[in-house]
Amino acid sequence: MDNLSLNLLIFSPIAASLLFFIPIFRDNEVIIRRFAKTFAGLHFAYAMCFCVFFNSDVSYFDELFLFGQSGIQSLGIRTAFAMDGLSLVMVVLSSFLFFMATIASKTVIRKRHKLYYGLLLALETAVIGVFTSADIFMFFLFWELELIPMYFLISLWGSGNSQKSAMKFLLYTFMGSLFLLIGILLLNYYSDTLNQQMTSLFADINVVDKLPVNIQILISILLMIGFFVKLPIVPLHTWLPNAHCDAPAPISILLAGLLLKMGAYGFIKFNILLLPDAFKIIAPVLIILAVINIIHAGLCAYNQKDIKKIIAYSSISNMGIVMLGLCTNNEQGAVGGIFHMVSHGLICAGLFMIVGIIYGRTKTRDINAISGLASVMPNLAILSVLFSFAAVGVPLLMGFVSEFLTFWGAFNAQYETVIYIPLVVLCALSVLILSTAYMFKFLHKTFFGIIDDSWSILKDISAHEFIILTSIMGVIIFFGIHPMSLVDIIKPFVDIMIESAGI
Amino acid sequence: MANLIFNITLYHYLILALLLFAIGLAGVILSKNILKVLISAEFLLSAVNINFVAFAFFADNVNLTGFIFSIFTVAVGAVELAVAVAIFYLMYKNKKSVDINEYKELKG
Amino acid sequence: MEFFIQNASLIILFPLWISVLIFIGKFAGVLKSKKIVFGLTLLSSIFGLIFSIPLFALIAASSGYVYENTFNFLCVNDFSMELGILLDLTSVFMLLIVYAVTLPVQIYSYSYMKNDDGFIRFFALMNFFTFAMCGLVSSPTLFQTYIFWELVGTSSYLLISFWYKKTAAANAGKKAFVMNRIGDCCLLAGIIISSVILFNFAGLPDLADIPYSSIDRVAACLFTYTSEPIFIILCILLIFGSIAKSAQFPLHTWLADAMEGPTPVSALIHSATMVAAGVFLISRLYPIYYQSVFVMNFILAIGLFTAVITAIFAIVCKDIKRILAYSTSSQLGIMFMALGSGALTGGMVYLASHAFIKSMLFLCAGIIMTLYAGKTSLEIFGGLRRKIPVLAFVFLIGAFALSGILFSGFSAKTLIFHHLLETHSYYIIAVLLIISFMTSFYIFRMYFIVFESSLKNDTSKNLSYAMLIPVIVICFVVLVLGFFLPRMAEIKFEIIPVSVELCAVIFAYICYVKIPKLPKIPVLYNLAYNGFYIDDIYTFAVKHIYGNLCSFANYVDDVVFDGVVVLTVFLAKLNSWFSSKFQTGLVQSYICYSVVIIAMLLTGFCLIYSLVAYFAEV
Repeated sequence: MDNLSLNLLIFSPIAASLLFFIPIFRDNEVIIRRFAKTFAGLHFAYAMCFCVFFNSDVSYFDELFLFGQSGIQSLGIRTAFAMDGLSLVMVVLSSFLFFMATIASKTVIRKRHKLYYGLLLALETAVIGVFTSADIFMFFLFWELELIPMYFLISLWGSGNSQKSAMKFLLYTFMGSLFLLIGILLLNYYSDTLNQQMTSLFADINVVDKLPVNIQILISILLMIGFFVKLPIVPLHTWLPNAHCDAPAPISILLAGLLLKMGAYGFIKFNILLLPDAFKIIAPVLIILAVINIIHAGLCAYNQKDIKKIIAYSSISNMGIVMLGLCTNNEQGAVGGIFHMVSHGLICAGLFMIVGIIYGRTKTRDINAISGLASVMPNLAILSVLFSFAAVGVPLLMGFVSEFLTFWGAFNAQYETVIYIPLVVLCALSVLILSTAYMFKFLHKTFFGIIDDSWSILKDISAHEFIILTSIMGVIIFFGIHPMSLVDIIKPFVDIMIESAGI
Repeated sequence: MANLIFNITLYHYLILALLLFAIGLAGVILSKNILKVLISAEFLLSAVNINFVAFAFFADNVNLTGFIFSIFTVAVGAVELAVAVAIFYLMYKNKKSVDINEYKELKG
Repeated sequence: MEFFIQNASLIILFPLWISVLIFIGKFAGVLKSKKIVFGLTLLSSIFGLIFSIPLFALIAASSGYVYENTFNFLCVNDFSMELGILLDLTSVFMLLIVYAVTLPVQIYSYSYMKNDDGFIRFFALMNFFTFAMCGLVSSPTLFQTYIFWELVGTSSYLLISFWYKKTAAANAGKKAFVMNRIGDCCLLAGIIISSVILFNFAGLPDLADIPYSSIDRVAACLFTYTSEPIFIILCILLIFGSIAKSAQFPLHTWLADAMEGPTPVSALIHSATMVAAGVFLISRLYPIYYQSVFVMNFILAIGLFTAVITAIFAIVCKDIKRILAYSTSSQLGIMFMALGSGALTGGMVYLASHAFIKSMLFLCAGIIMTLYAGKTSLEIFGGLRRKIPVLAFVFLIGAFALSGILFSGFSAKTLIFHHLLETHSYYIIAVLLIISFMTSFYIFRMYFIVFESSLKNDTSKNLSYAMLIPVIVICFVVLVLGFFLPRMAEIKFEIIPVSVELCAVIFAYICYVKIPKLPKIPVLYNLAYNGFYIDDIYTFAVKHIYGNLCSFANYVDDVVFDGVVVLTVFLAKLNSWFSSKFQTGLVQSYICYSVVIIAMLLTGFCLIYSLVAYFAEV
């Protein structure tokens, strides 16, 4: 439907967050929380409207004329936003996870509520802005914009070494964005349309025919460094365990569920859609990097003493599967990769929520200190078992569909000069065993067995935590049983993607 | 040699200015007393003045720029000296010492 | 009749609905009555049984009739994974076995689990398992079989670690799940490789999900489009899935530990149905394996080896449930061997007869355990024949059937021996005779120790007739099954195996009833008692080799990858430390710096200017 406004979707959260700081707004914690929750719920409902009325023929396009009618003429920058299949899926996921995180913040946040919810909503604008930007400079603007609320959210309300982890996260991502900026500037410089004017709309950048492959590879590598810090790909991933561990639980949900997907989203939009020749050449190397991701993170997760770090490393491993899916040259792998983005977002959200509940009750994250919680928290145990199954890839839950498609597509990947891909993918299949090992070690050590006396007084999960976990699980089961509903939205986009990648 | 003693050329003035400048510089950099630093700075100013006047005097055409500039320099130097002495007096009231090693607030 | 076929998917879905209903009811706190839960479960089992009997009759009568119906589950351009139901002789045969074992076991578990807190959870999980197993046997494609394969594995995990407060049970469940996962990983690799070969190299996208109705074309394509070593590796990957599920060597250690679960679970899952899924898969993919002699010999060798070593473990084992677990492994080894040597019918018939026999034996063991408050060690039992003669009689029937002397076990073994004779595989016949000897020996050892000899510990508990009736029902099935299954018309050769088994019976009688204390062979006894230390080797490997590998990965992560970050931070700090040395706070040093630098700049500038002028002139 053309009546739905993208500008409203993107900028309403930050407008709501600014409302918090009007002096009239009372400083009552309950009112702030309820306002934030209601707003997030309404925003999610609005995003679902986009979903309901989505038609693969029509792609939304909306423009916020910040710099005047035709943008910055000399550089061709326009503040334009668009939404296609992939963006829609990501925006709905973001909306949903922000809603869940807002509800989950009730028990975790104890001080400075106004600032917290204000920053959370500002973060929502930034994240949705990244996913819907139609202009590469807008993309970069929102990419940088999300770092500011995130830094404050981690360092002010986090635990442990949160200031240091937040600083590490910020500086690491900034370093990557530096390369990203250079790449974007180069892209803008080399963009030529028919009327010989620089443009920076995604739709209009046409570099395939004009650029020699060397320059494409150069730009591609520069952009990849930026995205690989976020994705994260193995040499550049060390910010992630610290940031995830020390962030409060709702922020971990958002960090793992959304910010990592931003890296993958940027990778698709820039490297695959805009620079396909370079992508075809580099892709075999990327497949090896993705498999290293999967295996290395899977191995690292096993011996961790901190339960949150186990889930953090499992995030890295799963994003390796996403990367593997995206680097294959066929529709099945790409659909599998994008499906896994959604499924990992949801599963990871649930797992971090569970770990957050455990930490909130037992005040410790040491895996050797907690045991036998299933005796006092049976509902949480049931949900944890379900989420562990989802993380491992048991059928009838979302993880299986995406992993199967990804591995099938990866095995089917065809690059002319490369014959080792099947062997490498076979190594990647060991993720089934690796993920079972660490996931079930975590599950059994924390939940099963004999309970320690100090934990016998814990209470089971409360109603609203239960609602969050059950709704996330419900979505996972729904898409596990009926994956075609999601695949139908992703597939037109993937068809265009593979076609433009030119196999 | 007699030429050098009895015919005063431009270079004599320049060397004089250089020596004065060197004395002033040595005083500024090496003094332990802040008032000595201030006085040595005046040497620097006077050396520069001599330079300006020398160039103005020994130029081929009459050039008044050097003379006028030296008058300005003298005036500004006097003002600056007054202000500097006032500042140093206030700082001395706080620190009770004229040793320049006490005036290290901007260290680091 | 058409009604049954059109609605056959209800057989699979009805247990799922009941399971979800019970689960949601319990989660929401609504469903609290055990009788209602049991009633719903019985409803689904009876319904399934009533449905599968006419289906079996229909399809067995009109041999060659196949019904298939699928819907699109996942479809991306040419790749499509369809879920549905396939009704041919093998699948309805297995459906009937599943429901025929499930119904008595569920009636038994009502009394067995009556006093347990997790009663409702137990029945929800049993229903879910029934759904998964029925889905597995009626899958039309290999993709769907894999889906239900994993689901069967997860429900087995949930049921083994049912009493999760006991560390041993939880660990047993974890071990079972991880070993099953290893098999699943290899199976998935095999499935994906064959699917991609069919999709890409053979150019047959509609066969890419490996449907069983065109398995011959699939087999022919796979064989022609791959070189011999790749084909063998592919088949071995697929077989590894079956090895993990059916507890064959090298992945056999989980089954013995899985006895931590409740006895109905052992009776249903770990004797009759789930572990039979491995054999079922081999029979489904038989046309693929049949093309390579090496692969058939591989299946044969695995089966024989497992049968021999697990029989040895069973001979010295002291826990009644573990003996039966090792026996299950051994019998499945015999089935593997039968399939590997080409006796497809013989193997499937053996599967059917073993399902009923073993579940009955497990249920008997469960009754004995309830009388002795859950203890399972052979050392406390003795002379139970005088106390519960009915149970002894039933157990005796089961023991005779298992050793292959009488009833259905006899007819099943006959088929296998006959096939081996026809193919002149005398070495295999010799080994099979040894295995039969050992089978009779250990099962009659168990019978003699538990039921004969003098009464050691008396128990005040009484036998519960509600538990005994299902056992008698299955016993009846064991008695008559031999007449319904395909069997040999004439029996000539059978004297030899039967006499071997009877010798074993007499030997066991002498060893365990007549001789007061049997001496233990020094080295071999310890080896066999500890399972050749295979389990310990695996535990050591996991803790030390995998653990060290993970520590190494962590080390690389901390030192190499994080090391770059730490190095950068260190360099930045070094730089700032060095630069801050220049900020002395003394104005004099600042003036000094500026003077020196300006002097250097000016000198340099003049030098360069003059040099340039000089060279320009020249």
